[in-house]
Amino acid sequence: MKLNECQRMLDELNTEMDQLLYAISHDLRSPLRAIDGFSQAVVEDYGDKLDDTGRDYLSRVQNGGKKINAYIDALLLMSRETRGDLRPECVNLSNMVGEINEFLVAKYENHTPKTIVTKNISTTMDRRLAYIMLIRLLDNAWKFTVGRDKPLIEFGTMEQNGKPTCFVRDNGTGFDMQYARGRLFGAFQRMHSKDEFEGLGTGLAAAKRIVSRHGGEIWAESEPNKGTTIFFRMATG
Amino acid sequence: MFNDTSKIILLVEDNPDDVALTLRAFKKNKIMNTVVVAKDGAEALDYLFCTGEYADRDIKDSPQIVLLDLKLPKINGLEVLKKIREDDRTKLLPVIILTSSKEQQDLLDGYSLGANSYIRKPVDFNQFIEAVRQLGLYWLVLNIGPTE
Repeated sequence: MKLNECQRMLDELNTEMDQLLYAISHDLRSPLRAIDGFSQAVVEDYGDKLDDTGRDYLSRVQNGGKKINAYIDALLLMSRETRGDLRPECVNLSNMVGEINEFLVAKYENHTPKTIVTKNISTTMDRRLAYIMLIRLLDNAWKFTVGRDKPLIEFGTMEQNGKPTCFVRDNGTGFDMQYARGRLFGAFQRMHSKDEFEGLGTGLAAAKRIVSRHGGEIWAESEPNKGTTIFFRMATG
Repeated sequence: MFNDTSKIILLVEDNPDDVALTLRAFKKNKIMNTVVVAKDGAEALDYLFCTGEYADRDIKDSPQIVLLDLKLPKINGLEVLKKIREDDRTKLLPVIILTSSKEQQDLLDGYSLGANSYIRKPVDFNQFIEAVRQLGLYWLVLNIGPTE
């Protein structure tokens, strides 16, 4: 099978998955509203007939429902963000990284990592998708360097397997590669507990989907307490 | 503020849970209007055009507002809206789409067919109550309809 034929099939499958996802999520909202609404109704109308344990159980039911709802939102956002027509053009990634870092300064109050951005790194990509991919990668780099000593975030290129490759590197909390194999780029996969870091685990999954749509590659290197580097390159360089 | 509670609200909603929650939200917000529930698009049209089981109803007693779900059995919400706008007797009726969907296409179709408002049902019941409160305040009290 030719490469562009594979790409077309992949796009078709992605579209089909998006439609399925949309249908499922739509149908899940109603029962979730019932779970939340009627739990609330019991609390309001019959709360005085329950003891603390009973009320605690009910609040757990409600929280569970709200969590499912947040997961649906994240999945839909990921699908919406990463679909749409592909219009590849020459994109200056370095400029984008600069803009996104400025935006992240505002998001992460009291966190001021040093940022090093190699100038004029360009690639052929859809502009909107490139932006979303970089947001996801950089947001992770910012998130996982919070509270670290001398936090540093770099964007640059280097040769990997004989090909020029972009990277986003941080000296943050990192993770053990042995637990990441095969699941790091999957949806809702997290390398840290929810108490340590916020997030639902869709950042790298979205980045991976965007890279795949461009026929590119993405992979990671990480070490606990040393930091993480995400490498990526597009098919067309 | 004055709200004429003799005016009817037509709620077009097939899911009994959502019907119960919406009625509860009305009650919580002290919206005392009579609510007529149509369980599918066909029943909604029967009510509006006084056909079928509503053949005895006087079409001049038009509801003050229609709350319309999109995903409905038999005839879907967008089709109901289209029929409302095509008929001189109902074309000015305020129709508020109340749905789980926030898909761009549904929004575009809804507004293209002449929906007056598009509200997404939140999963969080407190947010739902607040949405119904604002909806009631705006559409039943502040807004002056075409036939008043």
